[in-house]
Amino acid sequence: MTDEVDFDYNKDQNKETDAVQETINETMAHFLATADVDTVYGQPIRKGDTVIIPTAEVFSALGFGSSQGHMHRAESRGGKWSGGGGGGRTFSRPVAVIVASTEGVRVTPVFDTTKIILAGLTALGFMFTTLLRMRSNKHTGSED
Amino acid sequence: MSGFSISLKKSSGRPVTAGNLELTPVSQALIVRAPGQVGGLVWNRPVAVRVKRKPAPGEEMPVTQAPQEVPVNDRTRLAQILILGAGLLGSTLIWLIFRNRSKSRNLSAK
Repeated sequence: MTDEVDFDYNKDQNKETDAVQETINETMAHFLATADVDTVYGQPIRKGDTVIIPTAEVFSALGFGSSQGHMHRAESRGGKWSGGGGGGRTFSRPVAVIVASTEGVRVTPVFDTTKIILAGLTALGFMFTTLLRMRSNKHTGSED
Repeated sequence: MSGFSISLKKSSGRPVTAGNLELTPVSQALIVRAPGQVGGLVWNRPVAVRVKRKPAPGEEMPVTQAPQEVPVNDRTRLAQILILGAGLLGSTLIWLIFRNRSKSRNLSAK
């Protein structure tokens, strides 16, 4: 003897979709919170009359994707399938340090030497590639 | 379902007191939202600090004292743009010099 249990696929499906939507909304809310002013200004550090506030630049990107459809096999009883995924990345880089004292307020920049060296190497790469290309054209006799 | 949107949001934070100075941090965020809440990007950066001087005990302050704005400049970004710009300019100059040389060589050959 076999007992047959009827599952309500649509009900289960709706529950799942709601849970996914809730997760997406929650993640989006966290993601949009990076646009807040407190994200780029750190907690003030006090030392006597002097206050130091670190600042940073924040770049955040996020993406989701989902899909759903109907099952075609007979044993699936017309059920639905669904799937989805997402990913994101956040970058942060110190920009400057604000120092406030009785003498006034000054902004001390933070230099990212690695980024500056990389920009320099890229610029040199541009020029070197152009030079090589022009020299090879000179030898082959073409215009550009 | 929401559509594609780009917005620029400038916001001020809680003021911080340092002696007789009141500092208000200001930031600017670029928010890009993809249609249907499927993603987006946020680029948030510090822009300036508004400085307001509070009167010391016994000191009189002018009636209209506008807060001073101290900009927070991103020197690394500025250096990157200048270096890459110089690289691009250098490449263009090299290209122009070689092109002119080959043109004058072709003319003299004729």
